[in-house]
Amino acid sequence: MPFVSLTDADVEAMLGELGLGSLDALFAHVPEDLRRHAFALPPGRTQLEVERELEALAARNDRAAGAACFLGAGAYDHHVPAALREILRRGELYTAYTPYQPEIAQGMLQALFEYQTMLARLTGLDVANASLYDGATACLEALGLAVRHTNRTRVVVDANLNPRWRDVIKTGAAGMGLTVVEVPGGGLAQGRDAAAPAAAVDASTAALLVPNPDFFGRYADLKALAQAAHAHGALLIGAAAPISMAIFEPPGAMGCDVACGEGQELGLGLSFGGPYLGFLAARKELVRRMPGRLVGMTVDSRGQRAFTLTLQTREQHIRREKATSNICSNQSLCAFAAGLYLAIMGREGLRRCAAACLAGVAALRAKLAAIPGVTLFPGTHWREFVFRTPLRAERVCELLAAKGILAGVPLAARFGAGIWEAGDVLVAVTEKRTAEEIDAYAAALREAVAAAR
Amino acid sequence: MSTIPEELRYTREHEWVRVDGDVATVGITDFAQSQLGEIIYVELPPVGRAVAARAVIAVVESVKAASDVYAPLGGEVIETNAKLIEEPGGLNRSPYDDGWLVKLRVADPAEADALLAPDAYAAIAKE
Amino acid sequence: MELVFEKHSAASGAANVPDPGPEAEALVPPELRRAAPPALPELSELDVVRHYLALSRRQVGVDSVFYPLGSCTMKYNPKLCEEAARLPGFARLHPHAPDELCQGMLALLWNLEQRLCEICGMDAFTLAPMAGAQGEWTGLLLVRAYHRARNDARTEVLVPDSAHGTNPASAAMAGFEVRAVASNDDGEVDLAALRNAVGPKTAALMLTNPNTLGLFETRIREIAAVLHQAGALLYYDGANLNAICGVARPGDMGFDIVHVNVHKTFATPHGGGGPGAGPVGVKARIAPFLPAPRIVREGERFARAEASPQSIGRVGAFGGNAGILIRAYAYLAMLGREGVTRVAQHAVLAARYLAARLASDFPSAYDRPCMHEFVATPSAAILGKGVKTLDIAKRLIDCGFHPPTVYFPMIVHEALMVEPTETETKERLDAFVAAMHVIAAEAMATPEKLKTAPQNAPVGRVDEVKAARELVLTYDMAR
Repeated sequence: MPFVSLTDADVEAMLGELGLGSLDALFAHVPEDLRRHAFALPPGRTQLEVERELEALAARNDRAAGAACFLGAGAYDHHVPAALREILRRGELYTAYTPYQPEIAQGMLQALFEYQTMLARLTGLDVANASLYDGATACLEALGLAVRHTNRTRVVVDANLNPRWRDVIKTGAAGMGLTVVEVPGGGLAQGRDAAAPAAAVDASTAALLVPNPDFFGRYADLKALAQAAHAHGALLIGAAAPISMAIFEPPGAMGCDVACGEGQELGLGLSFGGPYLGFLAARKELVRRMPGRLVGMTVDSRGQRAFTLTLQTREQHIRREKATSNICSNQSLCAFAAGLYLAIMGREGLRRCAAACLAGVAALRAKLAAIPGVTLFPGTHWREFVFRTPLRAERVCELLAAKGILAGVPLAARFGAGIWEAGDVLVAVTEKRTAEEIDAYAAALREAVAAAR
Repeated sequence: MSTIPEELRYTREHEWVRVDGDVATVGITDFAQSQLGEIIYVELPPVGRAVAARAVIAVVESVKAASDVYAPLGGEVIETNAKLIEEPGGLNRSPYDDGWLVKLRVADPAEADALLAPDAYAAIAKE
Repeated sequence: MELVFEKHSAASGAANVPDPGPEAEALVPPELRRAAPPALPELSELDVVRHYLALSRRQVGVDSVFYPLGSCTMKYNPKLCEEAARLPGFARLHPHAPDELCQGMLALLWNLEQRLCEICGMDAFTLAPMAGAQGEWTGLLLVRAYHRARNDARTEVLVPDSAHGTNPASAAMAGFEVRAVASNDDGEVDLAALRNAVGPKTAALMLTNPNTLGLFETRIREIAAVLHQAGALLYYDGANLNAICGVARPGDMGFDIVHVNVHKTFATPHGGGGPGAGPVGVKARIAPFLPAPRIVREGERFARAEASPQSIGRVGAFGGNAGILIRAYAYLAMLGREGVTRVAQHAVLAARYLAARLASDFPSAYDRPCMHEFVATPSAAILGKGVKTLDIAKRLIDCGFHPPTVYFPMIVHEALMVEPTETETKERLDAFVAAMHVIAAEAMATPEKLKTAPQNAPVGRVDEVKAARELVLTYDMAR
């Protein structure tokens, strides 16, 4: 029997010690009519058989997994360094539980402390927590933090935030007592606009949540929004993209009190949507209102440097219904991986990666601009942008998929109504996309649009 | 054995009160601080807040526990012990003096007579 | 040990990343450019590898030691499952790839949902929640949506006083008031107290069965009846599913909603505190409220569907922690129906055996047969020496074991909660028993040995008070 380590003789001896006649007797106090003797599950299989089944299942995705991936909208095809994959296979790390016994968990604790430091430096803020589930829930938790800090319940959200993240905020809002006000943050043609978000903040507002870059890849200066928020005693929360901060002004420097977002791009791979990494950084005045685990530096009984979970009285296992969040298991290994990624890349490596995304976007935009029938929109685009053709966007994606190119996300088909139109495709270009792939993309799109004209 | 000064009044939730005119000084007892262990953080109310009797007025935290402190009497917060924010250990060292938490201007000082006398509290603090 | 920021080398990882040249950055307007680059480490790849390997040597996991951490189900994480999740067809699959091109992935997830339905006795499952606590939150939003759809505004969620902290925290986050229900002297839900607490405001009772004391709630049918007669729902916290999987089903006991922790019962690794996954199962009448995306089967084709108009919405950006769910599927495929039953049988046997063999020095808090875990306390003689459960835990570290869970559940004084799981050998269980009795003897003879433990760990006892009083959460706060 797989993965049980007691032999028949062991079982017999142990039952004997307990004075029991059979394994069934262990469950004698479970009412007989609740005990079920036939489960409609397939019979067990050998490791080899299961390995073959999984290889076959995985192979059925190979066309997508092996394509030139220009998909983004919340998950990005960045390179995952081999050294990272190698270290993540250390059993001491990935088979550990939450470091409640710090003396034998210094490895994970120190790595998370280093991650917290790197995220704080990257975002330009004082402190970062040791992870949340994903970018969407990080936004919801950031809003919760603002509500606790200000004792207000109204939050303003720039509608150019990822629509899936807005969905999660809506899911959580009612239970958390939030009143969510969505405001336009600028259409595709006119570029980003701070007027509506700034005007929507009032004296009852806990926070203004603004993406940077926005869902369409456009960067903006948030300093005026910070002033508007602070003038009313509200917090400014910046939903940010970590790699971009190697080059772009980070949320902290633009006046944000909190930065949150998705850390998947920091070495986590795609993995069909998870596990990813929610990150949350803030000014240190807010630390006691923060959700999630925090690692602190201290000393051991011999005076040596040591690390431990700290401020646990914020958390559910102590504060129960009054906790800052219900989060327990989070995404520790993902935070570990993100810190490792940043260490491997280093300051200069991350800059090059961010610059390569800029260059890739510029190269693809230049080629698409030359195709009759293709419309581009203005803005400072980092890794992602929208283009429009007269065809339906999902048709464009189908035609390019047939050529081994995942062209992007058809906005209307995937997200329903929005500020986009039926022909709009959201396309992402990471450092992994080669000049050949960009050429092939442009050629295939030219062909598709020409055929339709 | 924890100390229970004779001149104070107590609650079942381990608060103590010293009434001086219409001002009530509130803290947690020696027994309470010893049960909590080393205090790492104290959350105090804003001065000026009106509190009802038995409302939460402060939170005292150790590494593994967070304990609400309730107002033994209704009134208005007129002063809080800000020194504890810098040095929460003062509450462990001196729960009845340096470790006081909140001063309230109470509406009816006579309410304090309904609180526990030292011997009654001693019976509770033994459990 | 040095921090990564305290190590430097002229060579850096940038050597492996091509430089696109200065033209790209020139595209960024000056007002949007960062003034100074973020202070990230600059180290050669080899030095980075050495740093993290040094860290891994200061960490223990199930792969290193016996890890009988109660309530956490620290069982062996099969390596095939790790390999499976890393297959390029899964690992490199973008969540926005069209359904037609991810049929293998969708088939796997759909099949996992079916198996979870069968194991839990539920009619439908969602795989979207990303951890157990998120599963609870999702489940409570389902409770809320279910009652609202019936124009029944119920505001209270009941939790036993022995419950895990996530239960009340999740209920509060879902907008409910939390009311604790007392346990009786047998460690089970006090039915009289429950009847008193249940009323027209009660939305649900959250219950773990076996409960957090490792005891099976034998009157579960009566509990379910009390809730259902009052129009409330019964929520199953799957934290302890390992005790009954393949033996009894929450759905048959009367539970309406369940969440399972795949990182407990289904052997996916805990990752040092996640990522896990917390799928939620429901009875048919609650299925319309499940979050998006739903995985549907149309003949031989699988697709992701938007949720029904009654859905609670989305609980995460995508469809859940697929990389973790692949591991759970692979594990279940290997176990099969006999294997699933054997898991619970052996997990309970191991716990019952340890409880019996430890009882002389560490009597169980409740004199009743335990399930997959039990709560013990040091004997009065040991406590009389001024030794705390924490000291015993730290001394166990010196003996080469990860300590059990300590000080949980809160209703047991000096609690020591032991969960051996089914994957340990009898030799290992016996070695643990022997170590515990040695420690008990030390507690009587040389209690200082316990109070100054651990001596053989990478660091001595860590000063948690200093950590909290003098907050240093980043390297920059230390300087």
